Amino acid sequence: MAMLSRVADNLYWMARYLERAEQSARLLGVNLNVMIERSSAAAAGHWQRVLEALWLSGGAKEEEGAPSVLDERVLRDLVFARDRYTSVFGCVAAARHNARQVREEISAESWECINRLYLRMRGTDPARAGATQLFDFLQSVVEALYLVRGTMDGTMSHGEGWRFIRVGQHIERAMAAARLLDVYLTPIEGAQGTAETPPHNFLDWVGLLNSCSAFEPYCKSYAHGVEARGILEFLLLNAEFPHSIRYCVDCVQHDLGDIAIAAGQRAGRSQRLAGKLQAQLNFGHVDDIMGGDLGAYLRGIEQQCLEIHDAIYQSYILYSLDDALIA
Amino acid sequence: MEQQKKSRGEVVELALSTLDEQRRQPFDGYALGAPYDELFDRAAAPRPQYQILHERLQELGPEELLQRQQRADLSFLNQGITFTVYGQQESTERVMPTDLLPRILTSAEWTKIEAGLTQRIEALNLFLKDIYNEGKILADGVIPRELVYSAQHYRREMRELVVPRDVYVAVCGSDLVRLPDGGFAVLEDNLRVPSGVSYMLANREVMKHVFPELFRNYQVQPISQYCQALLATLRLLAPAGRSDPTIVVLTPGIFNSAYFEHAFLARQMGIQLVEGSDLAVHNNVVYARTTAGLRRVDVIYRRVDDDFVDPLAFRAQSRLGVPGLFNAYRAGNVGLANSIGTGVADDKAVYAYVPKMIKYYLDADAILPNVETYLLDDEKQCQHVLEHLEDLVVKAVGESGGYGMLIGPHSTLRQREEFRKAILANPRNYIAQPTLDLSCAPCFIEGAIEPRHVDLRPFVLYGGDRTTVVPGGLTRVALRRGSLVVNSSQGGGSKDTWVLAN
Repeated sequence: MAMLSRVADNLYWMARYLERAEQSARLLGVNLNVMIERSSAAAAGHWQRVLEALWLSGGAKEEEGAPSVLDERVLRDLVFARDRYTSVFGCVAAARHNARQVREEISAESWECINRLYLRMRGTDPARAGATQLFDFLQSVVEALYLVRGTMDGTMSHGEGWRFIRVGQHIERAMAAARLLDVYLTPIEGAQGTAETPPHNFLDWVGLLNSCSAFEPYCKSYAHGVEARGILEFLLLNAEFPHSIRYCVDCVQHDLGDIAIAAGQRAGRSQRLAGKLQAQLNFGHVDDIMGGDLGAYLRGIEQQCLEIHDAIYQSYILYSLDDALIA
Repeated sequence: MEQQKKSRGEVVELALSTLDEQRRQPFDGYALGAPYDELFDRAAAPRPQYQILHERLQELGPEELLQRQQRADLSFLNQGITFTVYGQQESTERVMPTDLLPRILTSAEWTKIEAGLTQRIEALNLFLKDIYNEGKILADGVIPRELVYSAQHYRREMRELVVPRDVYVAVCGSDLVRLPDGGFAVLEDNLRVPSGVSYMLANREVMKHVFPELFRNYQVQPISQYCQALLATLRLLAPAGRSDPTIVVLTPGIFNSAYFEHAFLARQMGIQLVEGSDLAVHNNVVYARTTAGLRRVDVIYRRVDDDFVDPLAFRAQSRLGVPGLFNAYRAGNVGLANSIGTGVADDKAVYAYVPKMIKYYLDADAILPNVETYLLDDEKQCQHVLEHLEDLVVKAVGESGGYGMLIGPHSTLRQREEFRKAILANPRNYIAQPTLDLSCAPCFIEGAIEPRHVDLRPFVLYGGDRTTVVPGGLTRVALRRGSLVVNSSQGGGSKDTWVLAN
């Protein structure tokens, strides 16, 4: 029998939460490291950017007394808080909750990897994690998440379910990358030459690249140095690097094609939308993009990802029974 | 009895006085005196089937055993082999406590159990077919008509409904207890949605991992074929003409106490695990909502109770079921395991009549006896029970899982008064049984081996012309010292059960 719609839904969200956990853990770990070398004034601005990249700035400011400085308590909350989906632990718990409902679809090994990570995080006492331990801990979480993905790749059939996992992972990753680029690049683009916004320095750019595991791959491709244009081109348009937005969208388009075949050609809209975004990235040029409204461009990518998401749900998961009975 | 205690005590004393420095032996604190001890015979010597285990445990010593227990516990935790306890706010997901030591049954003991269970499931299915159709056994006065019609789980909707192959109960888990004479008796039948089989299978896998050397020394009959046997049984229930039937497991969802088991069975059988909202009925045909559109479903192994299975036919506010499912079943377009209304046959008052059913339908005596049962709508029996409440166990007839029970010797005056009132208000709703001295098996508890009360739940599959009982079952353990309640919802645990080949 074809895959249950609910199962596809669980697999897709499991993958999105796993990816989100990985993004957050890496971002927090990298920036914890970067901030060691910064003055406290610079650190505050830096910290603000991290929160924005995690979609945490706006509402959090009023409710939680503006966690704008590096405060270990706030940081621990971002890692360990149990009551929200935004913490790393919250993401892992949500991924596990989804995985638990589709244990018969993911392999036993994959489930155990996720469950072990969850149990380990739940058993860790946040109060005993200082900055150093936190850095090591976040790194070990990222590694555990690599293990989860590798285990799924190595032990699951690469059929429809696995494709839904990949689609969820790459949509999440593309959106996170667009957000990160927006947070880092839009301010300079908007306020270029003005005195209020100091130009980003080397440490910032390295932090951005490291947040996408991209520092070394970038250096191999761009021998002339670390600067905004190169970074944008690499993280937006590179065809081979797995964290670039173009690469992610290529994957989404490809996997949606396979899903359409497995499910018997019901895709239509989601594939067309993914193809449209793919074409935009494949044929885009970095100078054109920088010459226009970069912020709007990046937010447009996020918007298109959301539309692809909606189209997937309409085609495969939330379709109306009446339509299905006629077909 | 006095003598064996003494001889054992002497041995222990001797060991302690002469070998002060030597480490403690695992059996040092083992109290004898149970009416039937699974390990030691009346002369306090290990029974033949336990000899190798007994020796091995002494070689290993408490520390090594503790390590192995931890390894087993970790394995259960990582696999997420958990159950949910109702009525607790936090951390409702718990690992099933599993005892390290196997319970061992000889091939001869098993042969009798298997024959008894086979006979029983056949009679129970014939009984269900009879009462939902002609009702001969009622007309002949073997079982009182009002007892059947007043049973809580009797479903009038099942009257004259044609059931595939006359299989009402395809999956059964009967609870057996060992009596002081060493023979087994049936304590109750679970004919609705019996659970526990996944723990039986998981226990075995973990034991193979923890005690590989013991398996080499014992010839243990395998049980891993259960899931394939279940699938084969379910396939038999497909509507005619559906040669490659689609079979699914229907679960109430992730918050159900047995969710792990539902997912486990689906995975082992390679079929889909569905929730009510995944299914829809159109023109009396059941469909699953898939990524490729709607797909027809032929057989449902439902782990949802009768009441919740179809809001149109039964409890209207249920959101766990599938609207229209019962009509699809009635139309013969889908097979259900178990059928609807099977609970009438595991009603605790109807239970008392099972030996008579066996005689009536099969013209044979029950191979496995029942436990003596008082029916409280009989005035004389009721009087006797009310006078001896502190010695008896009283059970509500429609309940399961250890809920709605009074254990006389462990009860307070107030609890007894409450039950007295409840019995007088509705005598049909209760039965009473003597407090059973369950047999005891050795368990590894906090670093020492101690006896604990156990029962045995073997799992029976019935497909009309063939019955399968995998050699083994779930041995449930009352982990609290002296406790007689083995239900996992009431603080019980389980252990692996080995049936030896000859």
